[in-house]
Amino acid sequence: METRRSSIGLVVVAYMTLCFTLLPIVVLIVAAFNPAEYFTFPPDDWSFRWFAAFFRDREYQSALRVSIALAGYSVVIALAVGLPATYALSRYKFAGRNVVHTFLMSSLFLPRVIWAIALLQFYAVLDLLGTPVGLVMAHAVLVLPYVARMTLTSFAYVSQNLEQAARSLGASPVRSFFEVTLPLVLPGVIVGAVFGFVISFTDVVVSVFISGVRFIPLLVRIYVEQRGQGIDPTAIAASAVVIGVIVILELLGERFIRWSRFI
Amino acid sequence: MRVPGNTKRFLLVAPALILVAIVFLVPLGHLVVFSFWKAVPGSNLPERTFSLDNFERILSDIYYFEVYWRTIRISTIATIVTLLMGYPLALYVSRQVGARKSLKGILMVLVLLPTVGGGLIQTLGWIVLMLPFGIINGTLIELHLIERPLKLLGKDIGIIIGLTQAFMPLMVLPLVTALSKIDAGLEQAARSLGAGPARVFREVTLPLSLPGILGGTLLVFMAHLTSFVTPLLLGQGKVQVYSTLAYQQAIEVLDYPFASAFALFPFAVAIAAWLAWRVAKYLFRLAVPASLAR
Repeated sequence: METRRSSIGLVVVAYMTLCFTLLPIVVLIVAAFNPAEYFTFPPDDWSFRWFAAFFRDREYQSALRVSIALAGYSVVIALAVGLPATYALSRYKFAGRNVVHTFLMSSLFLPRVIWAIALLQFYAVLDLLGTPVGLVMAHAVLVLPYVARMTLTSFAYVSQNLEQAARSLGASPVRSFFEVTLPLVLPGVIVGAVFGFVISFTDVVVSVFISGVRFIPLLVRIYVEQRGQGIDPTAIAASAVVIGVIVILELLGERFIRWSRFI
Repeated sequence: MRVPGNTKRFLLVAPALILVAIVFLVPLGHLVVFSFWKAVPGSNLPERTFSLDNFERILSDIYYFEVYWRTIRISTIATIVTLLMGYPLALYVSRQVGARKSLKGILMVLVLLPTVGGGLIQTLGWIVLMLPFGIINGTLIELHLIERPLKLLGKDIGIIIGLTQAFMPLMVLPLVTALSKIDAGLEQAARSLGAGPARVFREVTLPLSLPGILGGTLLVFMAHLTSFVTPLLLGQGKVQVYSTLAYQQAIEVLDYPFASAFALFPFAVAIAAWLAWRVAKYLFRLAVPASLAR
């Protein structure tokens, strides 16, 4: 295709929007290296003081562990229920296919805040508020659409002929799934899992309603610090670490599997 | 049609259905039921008798109407700004084809960054920017554009700025998709027939990108209406919107039934309006013969 030239005005406005979109993220990362108690811009000096504070603080560290465990378990559960369901969706025609698809995607359709209020009340009745079980189940449903979308796309790419060939050579359905289909869809499954992990890790809305006081995920902890005492430099450093890891994941994903085509 | 494989298929999808039912559908049904119950002071569990008290309270107190109205106003302004800022960016990104394909990839990664970062982290960045002696005010005072710091936090304007930034990707993505589909030949044809750049844009590009504009605007507007973290942090408790009031009622006041009713009320109104429109249309058709209506 021929390259089209854009007018200077368009280029300027486009990059202004882009800068505006990236501004708070860049500012946050710069602010994290500021050594003083209060932030000044541009910073007088650079230091890792608040990063060290974040990695030494026991509450932040336990929150980080809660977040990693929560994201890990919920992705595993989402995969455990999502893989068989998306396999059935991509391989069989059956009554209620659309219903199943809608079910898998359901947590995308409703604003998170309404679902969070519903969960809060429902968990209060079941005494699940602030429990790991309650949190993991909610996050599993939260990440299910992201995981399911990737696995659905991947299953669609794998030719059914390969599975049939394995079957005709005597492999059981289970064996042909694990030895033929699964290795082929693995890249998509991994992208889905990483994406789901990030979605769970960065969720505040659902977690802030149901996490209680004992198991507090990192972002809820950061949020609580914010509300408590204005701008807490340790919270800024913690956020910078999170955003840094996500940017690295995003760049790696784009470099090796071009994940933006999945969205 | 019943084939033996049906049971197997059901077993494959059942775990997902059960999980979603327990954690999503049942709580939602519960939410609807709760909105018709009444809170008992000092208890987590409400009085289980049907009442319309919560809805009466919403309708009788102008305060709640003001919160809904503020939410709609802030969301509308922020959505328009998002569209006006996002469109040029989307247009520029969609034109990076052929030899400049890799630039498009980089731009898309940058555009998507706010989505994967989650809402909270960028909002913290905005707080650093918007503090009374933060970066924005500091810069403006340095440049002698203002004398006293502007109040951005705890005001509508701060929330509008935050929302515009946070949901920009939801606008740019559908726009890029729509703009990329436009056949470059159409614009060239218009130009070769003598249309200037402005006219080509107005009469070719803009109309053809309308699906993207509609899709993006709808997505962003819905996201703005129900956004939670941005108004909570940038509003600093001084600006109540839909989600923050529901949160306050649920978490701080512990009035779950009222929080449910407040959260569901806009949906009830939307559904009622839709039904009324359908009924009106039906009655209109009954009353006016088709030939006359035309």
